[in-house]
Amino acid sequence: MTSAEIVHELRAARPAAPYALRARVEAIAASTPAPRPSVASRFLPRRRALLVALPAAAALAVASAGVIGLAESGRDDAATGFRDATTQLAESTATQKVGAADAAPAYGATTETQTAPGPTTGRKQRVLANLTIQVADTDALSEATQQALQTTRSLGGYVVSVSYATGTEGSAALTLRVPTGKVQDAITRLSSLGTIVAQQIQIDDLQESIDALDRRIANLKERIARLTAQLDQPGLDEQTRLTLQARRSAARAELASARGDRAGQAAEARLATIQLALVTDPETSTVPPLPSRFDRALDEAVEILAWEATGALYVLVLAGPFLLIGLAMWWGRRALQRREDERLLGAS
Amino acid sequence: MTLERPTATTSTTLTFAQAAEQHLDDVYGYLLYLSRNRETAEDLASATFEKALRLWSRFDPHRGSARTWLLGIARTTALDWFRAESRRRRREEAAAIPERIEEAFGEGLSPTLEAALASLSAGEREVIALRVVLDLDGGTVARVLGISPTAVSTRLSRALKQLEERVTEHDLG
Repeated sequence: MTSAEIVHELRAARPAAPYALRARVEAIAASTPAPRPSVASRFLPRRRALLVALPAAAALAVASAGVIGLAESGRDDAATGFRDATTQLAESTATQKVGAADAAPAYGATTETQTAPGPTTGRKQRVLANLTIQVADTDALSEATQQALQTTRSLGGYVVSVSYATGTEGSAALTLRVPTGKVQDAITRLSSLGTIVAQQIQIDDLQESIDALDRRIANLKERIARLTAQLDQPGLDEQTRLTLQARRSAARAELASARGDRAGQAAEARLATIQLALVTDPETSTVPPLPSRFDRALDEAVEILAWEATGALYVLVLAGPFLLIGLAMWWGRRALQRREDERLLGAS
Repeated sequence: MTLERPTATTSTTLTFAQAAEQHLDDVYGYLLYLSRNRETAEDLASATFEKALRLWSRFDPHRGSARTWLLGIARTTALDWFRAESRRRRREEAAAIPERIEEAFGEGLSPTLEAALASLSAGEREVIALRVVLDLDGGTVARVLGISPTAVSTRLSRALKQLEERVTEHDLG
């Protein structure tokens, strides 16, 4: 008998279920309404759902980072009444001697009659200023640098960094921090070191944000006091006590966070930052332009994405070994089971 | 190579009762080849459809046909039975009279072929049942057995060769 004949005979003698079995299976099918295949599995199988869900989750993370970044960068901007006080001046290429009566002053430049926009008294604001001053030569550069440092200290501020270079031409880049209330004074005195090449001042109002934090802190304190009073009541059952304690702990954690935020913003408002560039040749200005709102939004978004990635990595590092072990055990168990099945079928 | 029989209804409208009616013969035939016992095959077929009814909500028509799905459940059910049988045999005394297994693969098979089939292992009969008797394609059989299509081809050719040799031996003997 050849293989073809065997196959033909096998197919011709294909078994059919006996009547009794057919009746049993019909009874099984009719006994309970069969649960319908889930709508999700019909329209979106599990694997396809995963293929859609993962990119969607990634897109959501990026979008949320962008939205939060935009909101954070905008939140610091001045409110309506103070948006006019926020000035981002175009870099002025016209040079000007301070105090010259004939010269048309560049917008925002310091003259005897004009002063650069300054922070508003009584409001917490973040002040950033860029100044590029041209000096006569490298000797003047050295002197101007020393004077800038002295001016900063005399106003109660401090020097964050100094970068000084001389050669054929010379330049110095200084990052200074002075009390916000004295920033106009600082700018005036620094401007007198030479000829103003470029000037930028940016003022962001933080008062609303700080006020909101103050209100939140007050609410949280009130909530904690209420919870403490409730906990002091006699006759509380254990479950209620635990619930109240948990709520109070959460409120305390939130209070600590709010206080931290407020302290950070208050610190930003307390000291203004001045980026001062002293150059012998205006073309060698090293002060970078102030970041625009888009730049700040991008920075915030990137920071948030970095936090999200750090969090995900943290979870992966913690859970990774357990996942790997679980996977290895599952795979090993499947392999063993398969081998056992083959052995059973081979021996039967 | 024959074409696979088309299902009567589309996968999106198939009810459990329809699936059971359409594929009962296939499930029963497969289990009969595995167990070599009509009563056992009937019991296993009932157990298969009971289990399938409970799992019907998990059936995903995008991943395969109802027939493939049911045969997969039938295999699992049969393997559970094999394990139970193996444990039972180990518990019994060696001197106990072995139970006579009724060799039955359906009417119409010659005694030679039936005896040759009975001498094959369950694994060999299984691949013959799925690939030859039920005429499933290699990919479907691979999914049911949980092996690669190449392994299915190898097992089938080995099983058919064994069958041919034993039939020839019987004819000569």
